[in-house]
Amino acid sequence: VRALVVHGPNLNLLGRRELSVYGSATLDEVNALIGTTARSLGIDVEIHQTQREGEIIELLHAGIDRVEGALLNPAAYSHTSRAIADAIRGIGYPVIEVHLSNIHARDEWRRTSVTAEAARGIVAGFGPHSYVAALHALRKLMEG
Amino acid sequence: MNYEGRITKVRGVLADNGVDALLVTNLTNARYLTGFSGTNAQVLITGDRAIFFSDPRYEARAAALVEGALLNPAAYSHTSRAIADAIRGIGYPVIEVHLSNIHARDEWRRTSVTAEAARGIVAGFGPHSYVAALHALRELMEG
Repeated sequence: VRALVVHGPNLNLLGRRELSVYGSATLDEVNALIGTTARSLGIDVEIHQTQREGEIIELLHAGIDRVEGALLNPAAYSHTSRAIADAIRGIGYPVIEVHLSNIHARDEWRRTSVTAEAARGIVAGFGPHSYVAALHALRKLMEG
Repeated sequence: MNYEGRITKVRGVLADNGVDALLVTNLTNARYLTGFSGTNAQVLITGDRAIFFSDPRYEARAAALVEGALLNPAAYSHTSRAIADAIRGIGYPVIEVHLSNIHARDEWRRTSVTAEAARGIVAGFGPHSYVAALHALRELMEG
């Protein structure tokens, strides 16, 4: 089975910015962990990172009829983007929202995610291992 | 009592029979394996982990036994500052788990005061929320 992984804005700076919040692993290291876990679960992953809201939507659309599920870390767009939420509702395959940090334990404005409202569920707070736990959940969603 | 030895013995039986894990739900058996004397206890024994489950009344006593916890505070998630304080006080990592996607239901369910104190949250995958959370917990306990 095939799945998309889409990292949103600023995640290319992983390992360089706010280490106390996001940890020291770089995006390449996170992607390596995603790749290893996905292989062990029999999932073929296609990984993207973009700063642009519209490109996240295009990537999700491009997955229609091509992938069976997606992990999406919309980063700060989680709290504002009704357009990404609409895309998640429209594409017909399950999307799991993933965050490195615990969005419930930070600024007040980060506690509400409009994109999580459209996603099947959320995994947040475990650094790079949020993606690992989310892949296990996605595998179950794709089977179900 | 040598509880570690008892659990090791169970592991031996599991391995001999090709069984991956044993969930002990009988209170007497759970007490035999852990020494915990409260009125709510389950133990999940795998090849390399023994995971203890109880309820929030026993958080302080369970702290002596466990290295991490999955907690589904259900509706208390949205109101209980007391549970949040307990999570902050116990010194081992707690992962908040929900069967449903709390972000996709009533407005008042979208804020969790207990998740603010937990290390992280897994929500929306039915029973498999617990499975995904156990994978995350395992990483937290190792790290």
